[in-house]
Amino acid sequence: MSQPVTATKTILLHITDFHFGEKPPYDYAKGPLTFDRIAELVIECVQSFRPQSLIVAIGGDVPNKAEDYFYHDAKKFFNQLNDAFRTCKITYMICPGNHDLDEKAEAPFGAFNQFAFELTRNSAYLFSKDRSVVLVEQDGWSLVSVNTLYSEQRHKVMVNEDQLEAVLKSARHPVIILQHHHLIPMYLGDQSIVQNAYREIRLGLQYDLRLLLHGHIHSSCRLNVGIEKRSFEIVGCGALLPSLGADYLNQFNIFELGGDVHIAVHAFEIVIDASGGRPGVKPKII
Amino acid sequence: MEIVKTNPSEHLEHLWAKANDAVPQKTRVFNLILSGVFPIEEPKGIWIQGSLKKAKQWQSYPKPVNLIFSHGDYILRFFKGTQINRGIDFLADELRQKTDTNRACWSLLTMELLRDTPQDVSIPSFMVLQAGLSENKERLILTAYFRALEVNRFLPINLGELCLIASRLHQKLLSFPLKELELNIHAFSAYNDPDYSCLEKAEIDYYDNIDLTLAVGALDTTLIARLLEGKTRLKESQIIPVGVTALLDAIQKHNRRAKTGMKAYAEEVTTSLTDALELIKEYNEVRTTSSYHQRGGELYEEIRKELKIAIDNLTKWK
Repeated sequence: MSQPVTATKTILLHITDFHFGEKPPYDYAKGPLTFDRIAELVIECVQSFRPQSLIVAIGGDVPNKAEDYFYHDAKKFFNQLNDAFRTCKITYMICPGNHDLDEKAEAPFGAFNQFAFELTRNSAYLFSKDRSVVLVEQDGWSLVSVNTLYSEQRHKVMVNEDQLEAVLKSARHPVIILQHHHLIPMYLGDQSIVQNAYREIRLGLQYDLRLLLHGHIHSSCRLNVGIEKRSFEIVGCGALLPSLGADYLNQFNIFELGGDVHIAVHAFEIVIDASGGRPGVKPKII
Repeated sequence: MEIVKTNPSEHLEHLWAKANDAVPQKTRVFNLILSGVFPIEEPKGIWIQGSLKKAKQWQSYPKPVNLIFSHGDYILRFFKGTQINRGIDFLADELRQKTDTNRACWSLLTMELLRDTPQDVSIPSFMVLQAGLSENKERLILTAYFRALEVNRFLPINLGELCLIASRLHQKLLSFPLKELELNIHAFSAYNDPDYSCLEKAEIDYYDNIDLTLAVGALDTTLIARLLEGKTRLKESQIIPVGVTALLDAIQKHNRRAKTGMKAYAEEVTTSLTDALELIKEYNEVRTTSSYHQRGGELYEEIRKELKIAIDNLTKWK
């Protein structure tokens, strides 16, 4: 198995399911929990890990509806992140979710792709049917972003196995996969899972996958797959911004990517203190 | 003068990215020149596909309801017929008849338009397009002149328009061995404003007046809030007052007719809409004297604030 080659302190921030444009849980315009304040809470938390290199993994569903002005709100959010980490290297990895897809458009991921390029300045993150898996090598890790909707049909959630295998084969380091959809049904009748999940898991075990990150479920999830050295972790993250019902989470996850392939997972829940109405972040055991 | 060029391995998105680096926000760059040579298939690239829907709207004739005007309006007024292809046919015919022609041009503005159009009426910044062929006929050259160019949000649409023109021309010039597309953009005044509306109208400004009045009568505050939120989201060069005026009028009439037991909209709603309209008037006056005046920015924020007050009070009743 390959080893990470870096001594740099690399932190990976997994944020997903922003749903910009949806009615927010609180009055963002004047209440205690504005978009700016959420960005500040995330930034403060990441800063406490003192990263030298920061990988921001954006797990899709950036807007609630795939229109450019909602991506525009998202850009402002990420500008805050960029400003806060000017002295440290930031690498973005990004994949689309079902809300980034406009099935009726001639270019179903058109608005998402323009947002992804503006953020990453990397043409690799322009997704199409022929290009659904993206590989970027960073700090001794192979970062793989997967479009689970490469079919461009909302209800056909799949990984392109050939493209994924080709990318995994060419990966030079231990692999972290970022995708929107989950692999295991979360409730009875859950139809939104990756339909060829078993094959994806097999590929992961075959090609040195260490961590698979996903969103979509708006709650947390953590599973180990495989045994001993042939194993990886699946970590699902709650939604960062939108209004959520009971049993769901406003969440972000931070991973310390150690040089010895050790990955430490820290999950955080965004909460409002009911008595004082003050927003805050508390660690979440997952 | 600022010259921005792409390398041979780069694509349209890189030209856009370099333009954004050359023109930071809150600056104004005179004579920005953007230039790149791409494969003739570049208009099929993934990045530019995201701009083609809006680019088609800008090339359409007549203009779609959500735009203040379209470039198609200004191109096709000189041609008989209503298809954009008439304009393309003109360029293609020129190039076919005389391959070294210097007349394969579109001029969107005339002296009359420039002289006679009032300051508060928008006219195209895209003024001239010229098409040509290299000597070996392997390269299609498109050069466009803009009197002003917003590089963050409008440039992708403009590049999309040039791609549409290039693809359509390519289809009509299949007898030439075209392999490359050279794009050149000359912008007299370039600026970078990610909030710019790109001359799109807010939905409230093209929403049917009767439907709006019915929504007010039916106390459909969700719809009214959505329309007002759409208005706050757009940063217009000249703020269109039509929709807010119609909404205020409908609410005032509803309130006058509201009988006992029938809900009337809170005074905060009518007051803030009235104040917003006053501020819009002042803003539009300021904009006729300068496109870059600081007071314009301040007024814009005040208008947004008033509209947000109206939204917040929509479900509060008299």
